[in-house]
Amino acid sequence: MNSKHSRRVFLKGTGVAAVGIGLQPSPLLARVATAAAGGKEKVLVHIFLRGGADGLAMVAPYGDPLLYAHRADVALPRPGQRDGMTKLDDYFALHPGLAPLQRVYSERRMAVVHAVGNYDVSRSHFSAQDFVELGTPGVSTTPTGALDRVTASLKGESPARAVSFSSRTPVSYLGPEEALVSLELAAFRLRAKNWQDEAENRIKAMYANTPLNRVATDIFAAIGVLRGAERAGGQPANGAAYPDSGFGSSLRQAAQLIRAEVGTRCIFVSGEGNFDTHSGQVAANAVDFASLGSALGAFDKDLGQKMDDVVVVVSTEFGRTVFANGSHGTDHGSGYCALVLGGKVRGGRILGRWPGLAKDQLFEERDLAVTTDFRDVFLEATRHHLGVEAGAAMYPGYKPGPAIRLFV
Amino acid sequence: MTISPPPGPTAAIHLLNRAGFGPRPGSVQAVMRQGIPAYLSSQLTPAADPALEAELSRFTALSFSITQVLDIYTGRVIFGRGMPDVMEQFQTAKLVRAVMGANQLQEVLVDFWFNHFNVNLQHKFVRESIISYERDAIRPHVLGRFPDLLAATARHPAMLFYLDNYLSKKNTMSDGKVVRGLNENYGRELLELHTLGVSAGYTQAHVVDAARCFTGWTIDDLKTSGRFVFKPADHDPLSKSVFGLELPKGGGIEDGEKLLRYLGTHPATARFVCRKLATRFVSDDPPKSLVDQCAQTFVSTGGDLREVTRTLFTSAEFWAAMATPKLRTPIEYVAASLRATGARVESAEPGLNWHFDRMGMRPYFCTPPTGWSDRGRDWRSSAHVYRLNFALDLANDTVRGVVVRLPQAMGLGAGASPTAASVASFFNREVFGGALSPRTLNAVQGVDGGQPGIVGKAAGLILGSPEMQWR
Repeated sequence: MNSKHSRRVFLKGTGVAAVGIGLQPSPLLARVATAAAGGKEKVLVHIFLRGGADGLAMVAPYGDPLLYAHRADVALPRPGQRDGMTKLDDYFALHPGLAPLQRVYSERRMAVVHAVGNYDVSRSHFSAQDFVELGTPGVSTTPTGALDRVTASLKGESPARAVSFSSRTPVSYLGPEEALVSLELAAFRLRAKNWQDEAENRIKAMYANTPLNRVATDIFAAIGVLRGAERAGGQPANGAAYPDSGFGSSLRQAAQLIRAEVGTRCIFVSGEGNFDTHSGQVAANAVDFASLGSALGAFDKDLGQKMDDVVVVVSTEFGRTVFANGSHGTDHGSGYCALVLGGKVRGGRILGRWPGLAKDQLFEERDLAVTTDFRDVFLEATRHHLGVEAGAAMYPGYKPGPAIRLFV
Repeated sequence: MTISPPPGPTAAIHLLNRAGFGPRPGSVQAVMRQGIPAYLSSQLTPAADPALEAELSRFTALSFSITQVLDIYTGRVIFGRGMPDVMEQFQTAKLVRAVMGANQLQEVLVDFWFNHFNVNLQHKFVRESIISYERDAIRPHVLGRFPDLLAATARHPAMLFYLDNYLSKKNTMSDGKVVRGLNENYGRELLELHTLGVSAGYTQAHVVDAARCFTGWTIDDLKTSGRFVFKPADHDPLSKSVFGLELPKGGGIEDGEKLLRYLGTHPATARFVCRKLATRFVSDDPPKSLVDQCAQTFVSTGGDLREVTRTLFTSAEFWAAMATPKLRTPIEYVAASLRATGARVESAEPGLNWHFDRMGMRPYFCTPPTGWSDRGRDWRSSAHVYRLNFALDLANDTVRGVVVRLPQAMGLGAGASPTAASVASFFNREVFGGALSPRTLNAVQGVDGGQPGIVGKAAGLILGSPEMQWR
């Protein structure tokens, strides 16, 4: 019997019991229900590197001399050399900032999918981000985000079911499913010292039957759950040390939510670094990839065995030009790489089809060609990991490409 | 087609909310006395505002050149000890203008056009040049001609730096190999964000050629003078083709100038810019009829923004939008709350910036060149809890850097203490034109006098009310 099935049965029973004693189903009950199901709720985490992160810098094909011929200004030294990259195999190496992921890769909890992207190339940040987040390449008028549709297909009532570490609701969550949006969960409470309950009740009364009622009720439900999560989630485990950075803060809180088992299923992390490296790329990447790498390394360590229930996808809206520009940077390109972490991931591998760097292998003689549609990465993650046939809802009408085989 | 606004306070409030940052105590009555058409005319032709100027005189940094700011940040000149930092003065001045300024339309337009031509204060040279950017490139043109505004941003060092154009040079050949010098960043965003819009139909080749037009447009020295300079030796002199504009080979600085003039009055630019204006000021989903009217004015006047703005605010669609309020963005919400309470802004630091960060919208800190979304619904989320917290803090006068004296704002004498009902009726009359819902009034009127007190509770609820979230 799978966990989803057993949990449904339990929830149903709980509902009957709750009605019996005159209670409405509450966030607390959802939490209890989740915990009783054995804590096997699967969680998807999407870290979206806004700005067009350079896949050729994250996981570089150092084994191809063309890398250095095309982008001498921005390519880092080969593994083993001074300030060199971190070796994954004889051909690919991680950016040294991502070095904490070498362990995760070699322990087979991380796979790299290279040359991922959108075949319908847009080099506009705005459009390309929308296409990923809406899940509809070429169509920017889709009314709901891909993660909203995934969330809708997951059962559960927790107000922390869909979470976004960002300052605004990301387009990924556009739609009817409310997401908990905050950069700082500890600050997610009402500043009404001495009249907390009165303020809450009066605010609820004002918002009742208004277009913002849902926002208000979700806020107060979430405050309750988060208070519980803080107690149950506790401090980082296994000696995990998160960096003092946006990624560190978001992933530390994400791990806390996951450990607390409050019904969180879908987490979006808005990666607001300086990934749009038209100039000074080496210096910018050194900061941002180090922040990302150490945060992800800590997250994997922190969750330990629980990584079996988690899949993290790191992606971006487009890659960058294979050639360095005249400003020690790169311009907007096409193919990039996705990192996929999780205990059940078929890790320790570079997946996808490597297109090559020779001029006739590039897209429009400038970009890494796309060989894996980004939707296939997310489809495998939702199907095999979240265990729901969310695929059709996530990408309506999309006919999947060749299997990546992200999972065993 | 234009229509007359309906009588009563509702129209005045609509105008104050959309063509400004919302009503202050007394301003609804003032607009009604003056009459809507006369008020709008005066806003379209801003007069001197001596009270605001007097208030701004404490911010000496507002008059600094880029060189002067560079001198301060490099330590060559010591900036008045004990005075607020240069950037703190700049950020505070924006809020003082929003809260106190009589020329409200001008201030929302400066906010809009700055956001359209966004630069990010967190970039190092942008910090040194941003005061000049807003003062010299944006502010003088918001009711002027769009092509002038576009040209002023294109050659301003803040933009040249932010979108990397200062680094862009022609590609050259060395030993039979191409040495790349071109940087596409500005060329692309010029077409996508500043003028034509992403769906206009331009190609990657047009982006490259647009970028080539601006090769050699750079900054003379980032450490000392920080001035725009054109370096002919770095300019790509070959012919270019951008979205219908053919530029013959041999061009210099005029390549960029011609392209800016071409784009600045192009009908696709007119539609793109007018749709954006209508989205900000009228509706998240502006009617096509309104966009068309504004774009027609834009094209027939060569991009006269005063006339475009006039078309917008006198349209039937603008007045029809009273029925469908727009959710305030955090900046709009904070400014409206400060105005409603008659607050005095001493400094943006530390309180206002702390709250802005939580709401995710600190002025001048927008990272991507797209600027912030003009659609209200994009700001709807559970981060709304931070609006409630701002409301509660402001009403209790615990936002550091801001002073709120509600009894004075309500016109109460010394010693007189307001009741929950009097607080509710004050805001209802001065800010909402009597439109507060019975639900909100009930919730507010029921508060007791326990900590933090009647005024703090009642005003906190009103500022956090659903009605206050809309404009």
